[in-house]
Amino acid sequence: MAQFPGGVFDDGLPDGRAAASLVPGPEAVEARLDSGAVFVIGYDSLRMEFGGATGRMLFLRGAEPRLTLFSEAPGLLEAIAAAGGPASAGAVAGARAGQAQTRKTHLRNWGIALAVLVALWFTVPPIFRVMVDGAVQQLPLSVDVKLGELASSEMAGLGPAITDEAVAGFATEIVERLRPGLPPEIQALDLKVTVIESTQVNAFALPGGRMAVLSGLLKKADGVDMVAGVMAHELMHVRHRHGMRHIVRAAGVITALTVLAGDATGLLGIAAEGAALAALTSYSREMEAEADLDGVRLAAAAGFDPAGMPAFFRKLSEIAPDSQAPEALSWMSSHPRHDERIAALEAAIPGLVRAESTPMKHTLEAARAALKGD
Amino acid sequence: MESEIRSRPAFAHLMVRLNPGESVTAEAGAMASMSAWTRLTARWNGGFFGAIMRRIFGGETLFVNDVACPAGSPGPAEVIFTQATPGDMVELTLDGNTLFLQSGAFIAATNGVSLGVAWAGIASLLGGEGLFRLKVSGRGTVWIGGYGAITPRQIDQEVIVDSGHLIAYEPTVKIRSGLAGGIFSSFFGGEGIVMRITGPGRIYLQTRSLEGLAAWTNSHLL
Repeated sequence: MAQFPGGVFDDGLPDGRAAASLVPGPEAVEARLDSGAVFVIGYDSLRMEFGGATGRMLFLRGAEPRLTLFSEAPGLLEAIAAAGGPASAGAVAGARAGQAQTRKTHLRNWGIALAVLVALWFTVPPIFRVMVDGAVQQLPLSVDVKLGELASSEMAGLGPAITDEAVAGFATEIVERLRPGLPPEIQALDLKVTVIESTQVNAFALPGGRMAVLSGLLKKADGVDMVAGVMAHELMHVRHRHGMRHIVRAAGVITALTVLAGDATGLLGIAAEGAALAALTSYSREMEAEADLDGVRLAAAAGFDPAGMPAFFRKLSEIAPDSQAPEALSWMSSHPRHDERIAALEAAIPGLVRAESTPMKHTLEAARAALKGD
Repeated sequence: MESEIRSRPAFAHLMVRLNPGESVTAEAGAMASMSAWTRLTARWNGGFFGAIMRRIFGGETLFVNDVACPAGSPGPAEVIFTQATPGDMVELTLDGNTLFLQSGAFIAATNGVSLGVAWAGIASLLGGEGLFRLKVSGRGTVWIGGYGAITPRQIDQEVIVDSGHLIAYEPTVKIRSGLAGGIFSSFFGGEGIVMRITGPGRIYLQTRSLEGLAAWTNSHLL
């Protein structure tokens, strides 16, 4: 006869429990202990249900309320059905019905959980965005200026500022040409631009309007329109207060996570951190896209060729290809992929009105000539 | 083999005196001191793949150590095992039955006890107990440790245990995760997600939780 490893709960046993082998017979299930003791539950009074830590533990109970047999060994229920025939059929059917009910409940709970997650996924981000925008509106622009001042000391660490009029004047003239396209409160800011000696091809804006152009950008740019496109992009970060938004958003996400999943450990903690990172980086990609599209409009309104910005991204993708971030990982990157940005810009350019352009007093050629080592 | 749990309950440590030819299996890092002729051999904790899964998802160690007193040694090897948290240890006897241990509870076991890794499920994860659990079965002695005192509790009706307090349980108990009260009380009453445990079976609880210590410490850092 087949034996199934399991155990017995009975108040008469020392410690109230013992390991046992369960043996289904024609009339009853026997539990045989190592000590030689045997516990029996007849099929006439047998009730069975699945439970335990895994949900696969079969519990057997009879007329005696303090006696419970249990086993997790696969095939026990089938063996009881086969050994008992019609005598055990009722108990077997009861166990199977209970199992089916449990599965149904599980399925329903998973369904509800999934529906709630999907609902949150679609509702929380837009609500959160409205809250962030509202909070940033409440903060005066002077906060941006203060924030920019705090960060400006780091700017000095990038390299020495170039004061040569041919270089500094060139960058300042571009800003002055772009300035009229900005709203009055942004025009009122101290939109000061510094050219910093560096081999990096980059430019950035601090909250409050201070900007830096790294001289590598001037060396690599193919024309004034490329430089103007990049600076218009940076000015739009200032105009839309992206620095403040990012800080408010990050603070909000971190606060929300601390409240909701403060004591989360293990995988849940990792998932929460990943979600925060994904939320913040996808948000910063949105900000980059916003700065691209509004920046190209600003450049065109100032008389620069709007094609300068996508041309610069094409140039950038030659210097620093996206190869570090393959397509599947682009959601993790804080900047959109070059090809996506170029495509979005080129779709927008035909609809732009370019103002009449007048020759610049300072030229890129003169600025380049004044740069050392070129 | 002789064993004794000393300095109970606050700073309990386990002393095992192995006669030549005897050995025990212990958690990696649990050994605090041992006789010079004791032989320590590391092996994967529940198989290569299981060990890696438990390391990633359960916060467990990758290896366990076989601690042996080789035959022909000059005398018995005395080994002291400790745990990372201040608290008690208990000695449990397995007689063909099985126990599930939460991460960090395992200290050591004698040779007849087999260690395995079992999937613990989402409920366990939500309860802050990890996706995997250590399964000990067979015949022999298992020593487990906890943070604070360790109290066994026989369960017949449902009991509610706050996350982080359950350290060991028999496979006959069913564990579901749930909220301690309503949504409001669960978030602001400091209990959050709890475990609802139904019997029959026995569970072992530690009186303190590491999460509680971490939260208390954190509140003093800012």
